Amino acid sequence: MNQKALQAGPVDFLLAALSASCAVYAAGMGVYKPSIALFAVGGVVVGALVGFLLSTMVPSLRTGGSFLYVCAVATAVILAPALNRVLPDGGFPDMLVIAAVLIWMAILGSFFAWSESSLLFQSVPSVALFGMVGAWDTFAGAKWLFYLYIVLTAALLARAQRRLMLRYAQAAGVSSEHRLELGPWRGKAGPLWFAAMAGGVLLTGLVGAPVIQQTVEPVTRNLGVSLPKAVVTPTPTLASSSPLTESSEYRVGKGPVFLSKAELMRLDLDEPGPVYLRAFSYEAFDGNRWSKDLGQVSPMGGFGRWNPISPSARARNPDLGDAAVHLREIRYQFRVTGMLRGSFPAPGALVELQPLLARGQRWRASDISPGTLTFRATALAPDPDFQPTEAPRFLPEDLFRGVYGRSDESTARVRQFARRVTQGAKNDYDAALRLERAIGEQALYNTDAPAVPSGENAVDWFLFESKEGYCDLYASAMVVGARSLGLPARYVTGFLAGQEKDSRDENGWLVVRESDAHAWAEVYFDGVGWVPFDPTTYAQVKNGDTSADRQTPAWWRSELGRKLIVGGLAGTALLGLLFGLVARPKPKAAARGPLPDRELSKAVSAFEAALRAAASRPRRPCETLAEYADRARPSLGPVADEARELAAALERLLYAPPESAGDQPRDLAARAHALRRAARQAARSRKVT
Amino acid sequence: MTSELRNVSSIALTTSAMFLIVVAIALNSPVLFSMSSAMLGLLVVAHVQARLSTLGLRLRRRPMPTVRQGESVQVEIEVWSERNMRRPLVTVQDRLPEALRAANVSPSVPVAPAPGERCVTSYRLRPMRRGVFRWSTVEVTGSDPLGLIRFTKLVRVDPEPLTVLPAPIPFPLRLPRSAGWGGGEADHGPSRGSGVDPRGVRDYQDGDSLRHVHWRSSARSGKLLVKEFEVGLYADATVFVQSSPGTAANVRGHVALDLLCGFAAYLAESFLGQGLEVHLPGLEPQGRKTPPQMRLLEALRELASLQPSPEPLGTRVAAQIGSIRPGSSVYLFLAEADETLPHTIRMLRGRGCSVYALALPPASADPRLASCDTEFLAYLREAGAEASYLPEVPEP
Repeated sequence: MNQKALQAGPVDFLLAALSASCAVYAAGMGVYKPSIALFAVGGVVVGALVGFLLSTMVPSLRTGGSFLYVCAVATAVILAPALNRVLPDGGFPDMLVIAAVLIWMAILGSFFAWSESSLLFQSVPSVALFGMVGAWDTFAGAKWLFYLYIVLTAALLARAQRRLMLRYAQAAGVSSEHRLELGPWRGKAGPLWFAAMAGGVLLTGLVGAPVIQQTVEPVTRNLGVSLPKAVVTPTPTLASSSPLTESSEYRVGKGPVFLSKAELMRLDLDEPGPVYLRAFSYEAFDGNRWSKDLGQVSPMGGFGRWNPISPSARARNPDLGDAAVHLREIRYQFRVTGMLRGSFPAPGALVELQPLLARGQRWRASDISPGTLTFRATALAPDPDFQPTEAPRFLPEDLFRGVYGRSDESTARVRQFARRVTQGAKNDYDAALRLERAIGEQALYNTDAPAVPSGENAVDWFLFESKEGYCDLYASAMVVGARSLGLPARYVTGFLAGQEKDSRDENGWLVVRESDAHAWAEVYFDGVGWVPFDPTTYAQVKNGDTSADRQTPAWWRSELGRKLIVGGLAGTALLGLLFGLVARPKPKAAARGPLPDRELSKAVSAFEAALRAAASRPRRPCETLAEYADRARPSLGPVADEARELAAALERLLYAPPESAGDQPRDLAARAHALRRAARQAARSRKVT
Repeated sequence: MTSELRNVSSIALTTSAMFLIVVAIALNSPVLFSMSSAMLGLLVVAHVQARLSTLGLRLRRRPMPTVRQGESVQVEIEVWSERNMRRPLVTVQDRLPEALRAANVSPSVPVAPAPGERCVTSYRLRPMRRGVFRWSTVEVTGSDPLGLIRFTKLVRVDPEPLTVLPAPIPFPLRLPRSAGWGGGEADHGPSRGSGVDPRGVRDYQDGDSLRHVHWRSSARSGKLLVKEFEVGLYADATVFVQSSPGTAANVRGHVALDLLCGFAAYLAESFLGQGLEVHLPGLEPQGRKTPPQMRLLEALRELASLQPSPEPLGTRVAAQIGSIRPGSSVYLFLAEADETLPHTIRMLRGRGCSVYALALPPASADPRLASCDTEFLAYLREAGAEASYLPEVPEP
């Protein structure tokens, strides 16, 4: 038996690396840190490559290297906090340090996964990582990556199963894989079985899951499980309300939040102070979730009726409303520099958008991937010199089609609160300002606030029970409160840029980072349209150290830090190599004999083809070559004896030790080809007769 | 290790799928529902495929060769499918009887018989006990193509006997004094049945009867020489192995009866190797003539099939005494004391037979076995037997 067929090969290492890469990438993207995702994928791939090369150069590692694999996995567990800090962009928050453990298990493990067992064991941290990403529910691609992971792992398992069967056969005395394929393995399950398996997985995953979810929905609703803080899904950025992705709905008050400093875009915008950059707006609220009933806001991807990139004339943005006349025009340029999807955040209602293209350069609206392309844009924002007073009581149907009046939107306490704090207001605008301040002062700003328990109205819980939270709950409370007063309001997500000292680059462009993600409310007033209201500006911060402020450790950013890490990884690999060299067995004196199997199988195939040409029937699997020759004898004519002799020679060689074959297979193949020609001639002459 | 790991991984996969679905319900997370459902789907399909893999399989055992105790034997089983379907590879393994004490059992060649075809799977084992064994239950283990789920089905097939010959256990053996003088030729060769004519003379040895001294030759040579007439008179070995119920007891990890058979096998091998005759009265039919080259195999087969019986050895020997040739050497292999033996030994001595009582040294704490102590051996010596202990056999 060819020893290579019994051991994991490059394809297995590749499959293991790819499947682990799916998991670590999903984990990195699940916390909106592409740098972690790419770092981990790179680590896994490099590890798999190093592991494969080591195990190829030092075969003894495949059997004796499990100890080092265990050490690597144990290192990932024991040094979890330190290794987490090694990850780029500050790593995972402390609460999610287990994700860092799993990622490092995958990375370090891939360096030392030399044996088949350890290659298979690599799937354990991957499954756990996918479980975590699924619980966070923050990365839309996680589901598809999981399916890909399942397929890759299935392929890895199937190959391992085949090797196991080969080892069984070898232990039972079979010495040739070729003979197995010709004999007892002829009825082996083929691709249809794998297709059935893949179909089952897809069917249950895509079709079955929603059915199961709907079936258990009463249970889910009535569970009323309030997960403890440590278990509550920690959601990166603003839960699913992230301005990075467009979503038709999302939950507010999902628990602790953490944001990276990853850069997303740069704007050449001369606006003093912080700037609100609107990305998405949501209208309908059911007490816990906002949904996008109108679905018209996204200027990218969801253009619908409105296209700001109209080359002919300035487009009319329906977001402005009919009554908005006191507006000022903001002209600016911007460049996408990070993972921004689904929208171009704008400092108002976007009315014009032009990519600055070089001659011959093309651009598609769906392509907003990071690059050097610069856009010129114009947005309309409320004129700061105009003081609005009243909100319209009769709203344009286009904008407010049946999104108000939901009974589950607010509670009596919220309505009472709104009325109380706006008593004595001079007008609607004044009422909105009073409400904004009151909500800001009602609760503490805390990015680590626990999730709102299921079944509770998020706004009610925030204002009167927990009294802590962050921008999504402040904004929700503002919208719900304003609506209870009869003011048309909506929930907006986007970025509040320009707060930090380093928010301008060397050219004076405004740098928008992931940590600038924000949510606020907008109230519609006659004459200006949507005016932003942000209660968080009045809020007191509970703990000064918000996750958004977390910095990547300086030592990691420094060249020395990076060198230390790279050196550490290289040292680990070197250690493994040294260990392998020490444990390397002395080369055996046995010379590699010729491997006649391939030549022999060619000879057998040629012989079968010769007889098939004459007998017009293939060899039965239970038939020996000699029996086949005997069966075909009447049709073979003058070459029958040669066929019988050749069959005997082939059978003798098939059961001889491979070393003793020498050049015989080649000679026999030549004889078989000659026999084939002769058999054809005999068949032709028989037909003529 | 890999197969064990994969058993663990299938359990881990099931557990994690169940855990994920619980969390999915708690969090109402569509992604988790999707992931856990996919994992459950994979496991369900794997279960179905594992069950399908053993569907419609038929088996037949091929006749097994006779093998010596401790030697490797290949067991072959024909497998064919009654269903027109392909299937993942299945392994076929016998549920071996414990009495066989099979060692080094290899896995069987995995098979997937194509529709309408028969294929043969085989595996190897080393039986560590002598005997004739039959078994009928076969475990057919199938799995899904990924090897995640394994499904085992028990199938009954017609049993074929496996005869395990006893492995000879050497011990100091003194061949009969008349041996070594062309006994084989005298019995089977041209001089067979030559009557009482002396074939020659040889040196006197202790125990030779003075009646056989060839005085003339002795006077000529100055030393005692005895006539060697009717060659083989003392060369026949008649072997009795004690098989009373107590011999089923263990002696230092071995079954006492197996040890006795091993010693008897050595004796038979030694005698037959010298061209002498060996008889196993009571175990083989009288008057059967077997070619010399087959005689050892036949004797070993008889020893392999020997099973404990309630009849005491003394009674058994007495019943066969008529078939024992006068003057031959009778070997009694003993494991426990038998009160009927001294009388039988006296009867044998009366027929001019030399009786050798070879006993296992007393070692067993098994209450079933009343060991042969020195007192019992003395008792046998009094009756006229040469009684001694067999060597101790180390524990396996």
